[in-house]
Amino acid sequence: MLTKTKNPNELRKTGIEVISETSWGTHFCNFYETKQDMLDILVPFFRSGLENNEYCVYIACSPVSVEDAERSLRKGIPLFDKYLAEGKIEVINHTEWYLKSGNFDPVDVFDCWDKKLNLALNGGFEGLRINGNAAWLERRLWDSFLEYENDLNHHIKDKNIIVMCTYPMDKCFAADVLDVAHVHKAAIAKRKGSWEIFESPDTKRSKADILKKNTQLQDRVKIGTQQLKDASTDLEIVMLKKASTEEALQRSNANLASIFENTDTGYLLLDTNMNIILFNKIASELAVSSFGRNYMNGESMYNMLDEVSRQEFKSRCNSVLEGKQIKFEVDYHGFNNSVYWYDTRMFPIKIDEGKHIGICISAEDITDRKTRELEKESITLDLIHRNKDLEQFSYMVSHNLRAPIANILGFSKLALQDKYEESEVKNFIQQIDSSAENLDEVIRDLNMILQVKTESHAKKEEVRFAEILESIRKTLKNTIEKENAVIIENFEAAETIICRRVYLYSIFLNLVSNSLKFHNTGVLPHIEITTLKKEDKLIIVYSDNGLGIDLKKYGGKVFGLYKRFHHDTEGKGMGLFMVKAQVDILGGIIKISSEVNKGTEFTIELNQ
Amino acid sequence: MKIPDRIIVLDDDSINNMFCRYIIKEALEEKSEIVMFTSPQKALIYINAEYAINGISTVLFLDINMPVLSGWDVLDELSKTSSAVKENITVYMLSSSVDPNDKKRADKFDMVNGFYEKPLTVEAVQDICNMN
Repeated sequence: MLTKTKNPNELRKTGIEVISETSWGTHFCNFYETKQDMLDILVPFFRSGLENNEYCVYIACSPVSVEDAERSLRKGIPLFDKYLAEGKIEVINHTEWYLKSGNFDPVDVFDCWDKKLNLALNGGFEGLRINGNAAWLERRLWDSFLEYENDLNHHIKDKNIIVMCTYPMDKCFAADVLDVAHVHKAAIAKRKGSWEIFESPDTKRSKADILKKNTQLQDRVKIGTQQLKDASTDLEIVMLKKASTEEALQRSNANLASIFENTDTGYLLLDTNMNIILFNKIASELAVSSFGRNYMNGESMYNMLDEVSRQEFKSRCNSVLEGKQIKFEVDYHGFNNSVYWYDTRMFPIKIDEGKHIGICISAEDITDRKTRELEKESITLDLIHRNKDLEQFSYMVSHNLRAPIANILGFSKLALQDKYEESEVKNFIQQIDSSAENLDEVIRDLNMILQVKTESHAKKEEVRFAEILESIRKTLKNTIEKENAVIIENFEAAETIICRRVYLYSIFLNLVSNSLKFHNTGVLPHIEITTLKKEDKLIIVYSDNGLGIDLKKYGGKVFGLYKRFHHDTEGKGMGLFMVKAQVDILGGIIKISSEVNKGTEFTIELNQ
Repeated sequence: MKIPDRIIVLDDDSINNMFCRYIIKEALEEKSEIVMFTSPQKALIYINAEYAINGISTVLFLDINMPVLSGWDVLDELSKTSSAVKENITVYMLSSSVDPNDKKRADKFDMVNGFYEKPLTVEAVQDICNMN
């Protein structure tokens, strides 16, 4: 490669005031009258080249020798020797340039140009700056030299070369000056003491073009810079907006997260395939207590549930995904045998109206409240029951107290009249006596009932069932023998119980007495008593083959005071009332099943 | 009503029954036949048998608290009987103590004409028979 061209439109400082700047590839001439004129141009021309990193060549010829030339340049360029030592400028005799082979041969000279430019560019210079003096030119070579000058314009057109040719005025005819000027882009000459420039129209135009292009370029750069600035401002705004959106998002996320994690309600979010997406701390705790382990992200909710719950859960999820909200109370039996109650809500997670991306389940632990509620419910039921019992009790008491009193009142009035015989009056008094006895009995009953209630503080002790039954057998010995009754016991499963002996004794005594009283005529009384254990309860099963009670008819009154279900038999309706009262005090439950004329079975459930 | 041909007293308390016999005799001077029952079942058997054909005007003094069949049960049974029974028998409840709830309950039966607290009095019997 011969030449490298850099920025052909780039303007170079000539150092010459009248030309100022010119582009690469410029070839202009300078006419001088005196040596001083010549140096006035030459010194700034080279100084500017040296200062702008151009490789400078001065082709000197007489009357200026190489030494003269260097001396002159040294005067005008302070660092000239430094430039010279660094190989940035060379001063050569014209014979080494134009007349290398002894004759003027343009081909040789062009070759010389190219080699020098190549050296300069390879040496890191911006380009080549040359001054050639034509003082050596003989008239015979004039025409061919001008032709060479003209070709030089084309030769250096796209190359980083600036050439100034220097012509001595005294050697030129007027026509010569015109010819010389014609083959150069511009010509400068000293006229009336000041330098003037004669530019060729081409040069003027291209310079103007370059200026215009430069201006346009500058404008474009300005516009581009402005656009870049605007874009950058826009980008900044966008970034700021994005940052503020992100911050807002972060804030709202943080707000939601703090609510999510600090509520008393457990939250579990599922996708539409029942896979777990998100859950909070409370939900984790609830999962651990009711399922025995924590949730796992991405796991199917089905894995947490047994087959029965799974079906129910599935149908609930389906309704939620149809857009419904569900609310229910649910109980889970935990692993430590305890029951947990949750107030549960299920609702769809919506992004757009009608589009559901999942299910949100909230669960609030209401075990405490629910336990209290259930306790309250059972207490209330118990109270209602007790209240009814009390009502019935007071009704019967008032009735049974009033009945003998009414009789006493009635017969007393009859006895006080004069119209009855003495024998009749005696009968009245007998009736009054009987009634008084009845009255007394009722009051004794009441006493006993009250006694039972107040004895509830009696000491608990270990009581053997066999021992109790033995006492009963002794007490009722006569009746048992009279009725030929059989009592079969089976206390193997539970021989003893910790309870208040007096109550257990009374319960057994009343039941056995009833069985002996209300037996089927012609059938020997047969009684069976069995004890067994079920979980933490002790169960006594007592059965007989007696008259039985029509429970359809009397079911609600079986354990009522003074309730009798058999006619023409002794008994005033105290036995079962007392049994029930005593079982109650022991904290137990008594149930009855019976078939008329077949027998009765009592099941008594006591705490062990 | 006029003095009835028959007065039935149904109460499991025999002392009260005896007392009622004296009072009724005193009030009506033996113009009415007096029949006593302590067993509701037996009373119902008697009534069913006796009133199917005969048109005997009767007052029934009925106790409420009785074993096996209460006064209410007796009223339920009487409601199911023939119209002859209902036409001829007028019922007065006779109880040892008067519970307002019992009174309300008795009012629901057409056959029940009144409610008396024991002991029965001569005046009450004469009132029933429009003798005062």
